[in-house]
Amino acid sequence: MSDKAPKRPGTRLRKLFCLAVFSYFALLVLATLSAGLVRGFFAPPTTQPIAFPHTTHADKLNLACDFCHSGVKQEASAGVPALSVCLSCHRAIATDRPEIEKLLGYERRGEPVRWQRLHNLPDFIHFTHQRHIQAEQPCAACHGAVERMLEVQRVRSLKMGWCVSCHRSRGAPRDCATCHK
Amino acid sequence: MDRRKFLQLMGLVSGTTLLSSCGSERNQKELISYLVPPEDGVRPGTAAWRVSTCSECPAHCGITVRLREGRAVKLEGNPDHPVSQGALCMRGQAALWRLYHPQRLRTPLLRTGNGYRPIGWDEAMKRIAEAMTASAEKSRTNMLLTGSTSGSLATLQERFADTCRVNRLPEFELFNHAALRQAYQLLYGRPRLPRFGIEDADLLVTVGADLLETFISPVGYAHQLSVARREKGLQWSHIEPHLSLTGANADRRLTIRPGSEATLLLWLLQTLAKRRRYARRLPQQILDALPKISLARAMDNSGLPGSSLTELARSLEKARHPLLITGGVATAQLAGGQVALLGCLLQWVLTVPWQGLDFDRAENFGRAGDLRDLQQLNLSLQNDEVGVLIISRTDPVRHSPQKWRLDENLRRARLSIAMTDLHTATSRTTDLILPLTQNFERWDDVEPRIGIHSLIQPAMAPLHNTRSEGDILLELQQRLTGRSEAASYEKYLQQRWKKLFSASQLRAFINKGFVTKGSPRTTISLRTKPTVAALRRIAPSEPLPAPATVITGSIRSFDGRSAVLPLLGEIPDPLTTVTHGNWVTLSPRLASQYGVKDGEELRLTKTDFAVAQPARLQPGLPDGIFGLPIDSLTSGPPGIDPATGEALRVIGAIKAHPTGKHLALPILSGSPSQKGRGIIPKPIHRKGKHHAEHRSLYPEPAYRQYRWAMAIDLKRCIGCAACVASCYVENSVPVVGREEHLKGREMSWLRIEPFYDDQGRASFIPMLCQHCDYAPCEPVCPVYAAYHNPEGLNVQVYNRCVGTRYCSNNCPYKVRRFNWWQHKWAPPLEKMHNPDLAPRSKGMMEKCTFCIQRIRTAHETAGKEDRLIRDGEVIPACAQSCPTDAITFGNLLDPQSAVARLIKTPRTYRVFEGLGTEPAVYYLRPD
Amino acid sequence: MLPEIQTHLEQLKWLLIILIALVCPLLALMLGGTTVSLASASLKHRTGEKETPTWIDGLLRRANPSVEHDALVVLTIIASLLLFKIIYRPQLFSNAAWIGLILLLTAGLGLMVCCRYRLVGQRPLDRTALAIGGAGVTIVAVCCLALACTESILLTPEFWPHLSHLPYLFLSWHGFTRFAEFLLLTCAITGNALLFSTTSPNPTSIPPPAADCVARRIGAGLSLGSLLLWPLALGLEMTLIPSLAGGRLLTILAVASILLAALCTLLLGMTLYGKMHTPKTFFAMIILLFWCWAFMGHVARERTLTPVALAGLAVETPTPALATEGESIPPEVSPSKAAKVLNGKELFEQKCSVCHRFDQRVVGPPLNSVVPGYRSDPETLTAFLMQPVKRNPDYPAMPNLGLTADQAEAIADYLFQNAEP
Repeated sequence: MSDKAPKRPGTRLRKLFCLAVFSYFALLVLATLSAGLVRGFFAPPTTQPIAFPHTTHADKLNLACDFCHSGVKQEASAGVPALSVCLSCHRAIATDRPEIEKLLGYERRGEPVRWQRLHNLPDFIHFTHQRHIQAEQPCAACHGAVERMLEVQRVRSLKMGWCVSCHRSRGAPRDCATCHK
Repeated sequence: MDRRKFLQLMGLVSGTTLLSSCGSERNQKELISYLVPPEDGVRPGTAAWRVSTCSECPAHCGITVRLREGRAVKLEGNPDHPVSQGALCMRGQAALWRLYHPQRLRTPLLRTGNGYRPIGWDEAMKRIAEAMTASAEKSRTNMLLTGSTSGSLATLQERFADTCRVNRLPEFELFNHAALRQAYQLLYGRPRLPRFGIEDADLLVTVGADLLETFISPVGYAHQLSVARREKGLQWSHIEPHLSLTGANADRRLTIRPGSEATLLLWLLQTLAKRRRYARRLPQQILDALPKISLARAMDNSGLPGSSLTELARSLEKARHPLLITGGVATAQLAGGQVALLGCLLQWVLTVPWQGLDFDRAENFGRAGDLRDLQQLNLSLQNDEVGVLIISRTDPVRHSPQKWRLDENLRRARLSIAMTDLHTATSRTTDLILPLTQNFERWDDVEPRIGIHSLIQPAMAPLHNTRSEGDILLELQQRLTGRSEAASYEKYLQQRWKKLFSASQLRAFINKGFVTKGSPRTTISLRTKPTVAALRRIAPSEPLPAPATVITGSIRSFDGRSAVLPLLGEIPDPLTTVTHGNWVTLSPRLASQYGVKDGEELRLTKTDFAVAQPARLQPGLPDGIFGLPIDSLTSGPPGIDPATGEALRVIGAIKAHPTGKHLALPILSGSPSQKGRGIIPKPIHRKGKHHAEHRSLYPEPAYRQYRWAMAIDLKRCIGCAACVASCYVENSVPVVGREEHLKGREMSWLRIEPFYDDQGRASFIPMLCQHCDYAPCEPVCPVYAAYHNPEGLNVQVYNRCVGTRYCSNNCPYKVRRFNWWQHKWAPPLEKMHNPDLAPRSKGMMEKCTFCIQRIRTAHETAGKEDRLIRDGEVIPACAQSCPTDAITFGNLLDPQSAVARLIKTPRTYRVFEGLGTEPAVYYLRPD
Repeated sequence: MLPEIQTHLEQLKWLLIILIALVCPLLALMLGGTTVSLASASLKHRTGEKETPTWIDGLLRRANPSVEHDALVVLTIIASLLLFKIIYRPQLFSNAAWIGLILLLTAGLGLMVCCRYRLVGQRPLDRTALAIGGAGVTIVAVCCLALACTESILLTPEFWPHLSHLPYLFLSWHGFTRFAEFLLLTCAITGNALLFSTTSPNPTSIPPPAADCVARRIGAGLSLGSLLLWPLALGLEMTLIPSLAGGRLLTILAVASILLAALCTLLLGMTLYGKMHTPKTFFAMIILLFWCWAFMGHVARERTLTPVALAGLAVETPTPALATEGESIPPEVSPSKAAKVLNGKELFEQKCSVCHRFDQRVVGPPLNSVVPGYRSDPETLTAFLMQPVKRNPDYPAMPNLGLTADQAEAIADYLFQNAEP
């Protein structure tokens, strides 16, 4: 019983092969995961401090977009409504609902609502809402059907290529300096 | 002003409305809502403008403050303001750096041993009140010493002094023009500095008065000079012993020996008084009392050839509206009182007949004292007579001669208090320091000239725990006497303004920033007796023995007060182009005599005055003169003139020897000579017309609606660098400091290049990106970050730049600047950042953009109204700030625009035209 | 959309996935096989009939198809493409364009079938056969690229309105990556086929002939190579996929397919070193890879093509080739500036009824108590509606609704009509 079975000649090579394959694929699995991570695929969905439903306000009540986002016709940014705009109705309407109670809490504390921004451009980009409204771009073209979103999501990539292709098809200025500050 | 409006304004200031961050362009992750919607006209992402007044120097130019998201980001001149006419000098532009200075005092500080302990306002006020009460018991006097004050604060100080039994000392300023004021007092009985009617003169002779740098109201004078040269054909001769920026810009500069101004003026007076035209101006007694002086003696004394003297006298006689101004270094010497008296007497002969002096709209130096008052204070301190000494907005320790030992004597006061916004030499010796709110954080008013009331309006809430001087005085009054003029300084202002202004005037005051109250013109008459007495005491003196030192006021720091602003250290001195550091100038010949070159230290001594600074060779400076800028003095002035109380700034018989040390001086100009390159073309350069071929791989430029271009008139440019400072602030250009400058890594997008010819005459040319049609920088960028836009601008897309620096390599004008480092702005300086501009980070190339952010805004405004941009709608920051309107900007394709007309004059040329770059910046030759 | 389709959309989508999962491997096999046959046949043609190395013959033999196989492929392709158009109704292509694509693909496949038939038939090869085959392979490859790019542009609906002006937007890096992945999987399945298909009935007993060995080695090389390159392509896709389309599930699927490829490589390696596994294992794994790949596309589409995202895309109709056709999946949203019929009643119900009733207090006062006061001066009411100010301390301030003069007048008229006299 002393003699062992002769070792097969390719065992070490096989083991090496397995190890090589394993490490190669492990590395690439990590690379893929990190690509996903970097691109934000694992980001948790944004939660807003108050669950404001556009479906009720923009769809059911048919409030115009610029009723709240009033900056859109005059200035660069559309803005979010001041607390007093919300309270002009909600001081009396539906005050028993928990979200409205949150709103009233903000008013009591004199604290502004910190909404989580969804449509964010880098700070070297100059974007004016006013010019786009003047060119009769509907809000839904860039923001999607917001009035049908219970929770607002971003549905456009907001990438430069997209902006440029729209500018190109419509004959809007394509000069770099138009948007790059 | 009605309560609602003031409350509205208060609402703006007190910060109860929080701002939506979607305009602040900082890649915010949150959108923060308002509590209450903002005022009409105040919207995030758009700018609001407020009128106010600058206080960097006593001239008090009117300004408008640009607000973005409730922060002041830019200052511009107020176009209608009578003092500045829409311009702002570089110190005024840099005033924002004072507001956001990282080392601003934030709380009251109490001295403990060698350091300071922050204390609360309550405790500070208590201490002061207690000390003031105690000193009254101990028969010590409480004193108040302030810098130049006018308007409501001055009246409040008066009331404070009366009710609290405080001795209100004469105001202390280093440049107090005491000799002049004393001369006017003697001659007319009015100790006031008149407003000089330069814009109506056709011949201006200035003796020592540095009109363009520190003399009374430099921005106003620069503007008036420019207007007079254009419309009245003003000829300007400047007489001085050294070389100043003023002298460099005059039509003729006469170099006289230092200390000979009195003799020169005496000779002129004597000569002109005999001429037919002025024969009856002076009463006989005065003519008899004038010492006699011959032309030969005058020549010998001043060092001028006889022809110059006779020519000067002849031109003064021939001119219809001659104006003579003395001041500056001419009156800041031991014979200064004589110079002032003679100069003012000459004014009586030449200028008063055509009403060139306006004493009713006089400059408000009413309560300014002189250094003799400071000497008196020093004596009182030595004799332990001073109880509480409050020193506000002035720096007597720095500006008093070293031998007085004012800093030591200050400690003998019971309690010395410095009220200031930044540490000064004085505040480092006082017991208590109270931080003051800045101009842009408080309400106030000033009266720069009699009858002109200028508003100081807050742009934002105070950044730190500071208070305004008015509030401090009112609280002290309350604590000491139990009642005060008003509950707060703002209420005091409201009360006073209601009394001072009518309703419509008040509205204009708040909206336009100033009110001009009319006053009837009174005639002045010469007081013969005192004049004769003074004239009898005059003994024409010999000129100061060479070599002499002339201590000059600096256009960058005034009397040294603005040196603490880093931006001003970064901008080169217009004549020497030295940036960070101090120096002493001497002519190349004198330098070779001493065997020194640029940067080698020279030690200047005379009895108890000593200064050691690196040398800087200055072409055009007379041999035998050392020029010492005021910042180069390590201690105060060498002495005072006991007759007038002015600080001595011209000293003769200086001993100089090189110490052997070499200090690296950051000198930004490559060479003082053009070396025949024709940057500012002399006649010889104009002979050949250059026709260069254009070779470009890009399509030919074809402009459809706009082609932006700039025209710079070199005849008007005085080299004051206000445009440079304005560009720095508008574009948030980083300040890189001395080490980087020594490596030649300047960051200024616009620079003033001084060039000297063989005779030492200087010309200045502002050099900026020329936005060439066939720009050499565009084809060499590997990533297309530098490209030519359809409106003619050479645009740099910052986030595309990868930092190869090939573009800078290729630029023949060397106007591209590279960010070698990630520049960190010490907080709160980052609040000054212009949100219309992208922040540039390390590795990006930047350069002048013709203020493309302003062009973009104009496009949007014009687009809203569906029209083209009109001429004058886009004014780049440099053009806006220029006191002489040297820079014009506009659309070349608009035939009516100012630029289109300017490029057709015979004086127009472009720099390096032979290279074929086709720049968009056109220059107009100075001659 | 037809209501029947709407109700069964989910099931249709699953059907589509299954079809894709079926058709892609078959198409890939066909494509790969034809390419290999063509390559070896042209080599044979080049070297002449007599001196052909035997391994080329071996390759040819291994890559032979069956007619049923080909017919199945063609039919499944047509079915899945039609289903694709029905489900997604992309506003990109008109029906004509889509049918054109189907026809082109069918033509290409037909050409390929002809060529293979001739190859199998052992007739003397001529240039035309090879040319037909080459053309067929090229057409099919191009159509696959077009389909990959379509799949990719479906993930970026924001570009759809601009396709008519800028047709080059149709091509995208992501599309090319998807096509590359398809090619890799084609190589994998072809390699496997070469490795495991036999010409003799008893593969295990007799040692395989030398020519077969070379062919087997080529197959193994193809297989291994493509499996090793698979994670790179997938990593590239994770980097290039539009960010709104990616998500956790997608990343996990990608990782899963890489792990599957790893397993397959290991097993393949072991097979080559002696330990035999049944061919079915490998084919199953490759088909599972195909399915992962198709499912990733499905998941991405599901994330992107939501009704809210597709709203607001005003697709223009300039040229008939790429004209929009039919309605989009959700109805178009009227822009905020659309002209509305100034019906006072409608406006009241939209804007005012939130806070006002005529007979009771809701948020604002009952209108019956306020409106009669304006009857003497109707214009004041219109002015008030355009610029409301706080009047009554008992009620909150009325917000400015941004009414135009016409709207305010219409509402005022309605109010006067319906309030108490």
